[in-house]
Amino acid sequence: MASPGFTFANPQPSPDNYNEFDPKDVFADSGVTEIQAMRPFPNRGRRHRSWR
Amino acid sequence: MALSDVPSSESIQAIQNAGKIVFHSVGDTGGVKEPSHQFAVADAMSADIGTEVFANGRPAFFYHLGDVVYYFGQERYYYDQFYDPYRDYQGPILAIPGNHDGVLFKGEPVKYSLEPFFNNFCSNAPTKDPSAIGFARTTMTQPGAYFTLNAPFLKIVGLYSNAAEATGVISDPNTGPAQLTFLESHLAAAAAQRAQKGAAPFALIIATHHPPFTISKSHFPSPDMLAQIDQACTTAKIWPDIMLSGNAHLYERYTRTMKADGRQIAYVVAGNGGYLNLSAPRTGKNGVNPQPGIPGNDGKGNQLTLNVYNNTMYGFLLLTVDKSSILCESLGVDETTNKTTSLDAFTVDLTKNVVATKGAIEASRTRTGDVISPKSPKASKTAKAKKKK
Repeated sequence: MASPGFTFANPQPSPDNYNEFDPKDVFADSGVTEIQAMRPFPNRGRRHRSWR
Repeated sequence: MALSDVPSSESIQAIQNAGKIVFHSVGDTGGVKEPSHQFAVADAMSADIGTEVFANGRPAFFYHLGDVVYYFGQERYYYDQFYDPYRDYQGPILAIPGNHDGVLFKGEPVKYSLEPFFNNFCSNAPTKDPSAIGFARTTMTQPGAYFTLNAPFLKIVGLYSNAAEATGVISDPNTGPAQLTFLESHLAAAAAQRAQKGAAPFALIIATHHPPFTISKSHFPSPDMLAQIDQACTTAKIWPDIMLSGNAHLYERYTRTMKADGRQIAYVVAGNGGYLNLSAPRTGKNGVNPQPGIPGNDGKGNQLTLNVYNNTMYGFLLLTVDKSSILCESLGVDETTNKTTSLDAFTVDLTKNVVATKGAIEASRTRTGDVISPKSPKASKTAKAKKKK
């Protein structure tokens, strides 16, 4: 179903395992304060290379 | 980019033969604090693909409306909030970034805003991201944070509405004019494509993370962003058939009737993809909730009607596009039974530019979600253990 190089789902379905997640990961820096600012668009070599 | 860059040529041909393309969309999925909501929705989306073939409406891809990873789009949380929930999703996932994917905190170990998003969605070639250990999914090869997706029967212009929590910004003195120039040029190209004699018809969708309109009391509409998009559409003489957004954590659908020519445009907010705390609506006098169906205006002389909203169920959109219409269904996921139910369904007539509410969707479209109990053995435990080393 995918073009060469791409893969999507795992070959076999597996059960949800979020109960095993590390609590630190689950809360994911929720206590950290953000910096409110507009951000420039990333300037990497690939940026918009393949506009069609 | 072209969708044909990702699925096999046989898949694209099968979609063409089917005479329609079906895809999923939703935003604000990152299952921080309470992952169960995101996993329920992801499981239902995976089940919706199931073993279907394109001739029977198999969704071709998932178009993510941003806020993939909370709260700062960090690479280290792509495992928990992206690769693991969608491990069974049998299709490509494309995305525009949300504010949480781009916002930074002091001392965040990245070279630039959106670096993890680029690593996972904008790589030069499909590869295995280190966060995807134990999962088959490869990175996506989008050209950037904003891009046009060309697919059979469909063109989606996806924009990055930047990192503010409040309102969306596609162009201002801080970000520069590049994205607005991109929008103008791609709308002009779309208009020219549509005007070509004998050209294949297509639906035009514009997607931004921040919504132009919302009733969420925890979020804001983005009138300045909408004004820039409107101006670009006016100049190019082409308008979207649907605009998709997220950010507000609920489902909303508006119909905007343009005074200039009477065309109707559907504005959909689908920010109920799994992030905890569905958004309550902003209430009016005496605490009254918004009343769907009562025409108002958009502040620019166009009629604007809130058709439907739902802030009680997580879910996703299922869109079906053929050469003459769009069917958009909002499906809610019952986290107890894992079944999906219809929250809303409407059509857009691509010839007459009319939006119409549709009745309840067919039962055959309603499928059960994950059939694997969360309490069964943990298949990906080993992979998780590897990650933590």
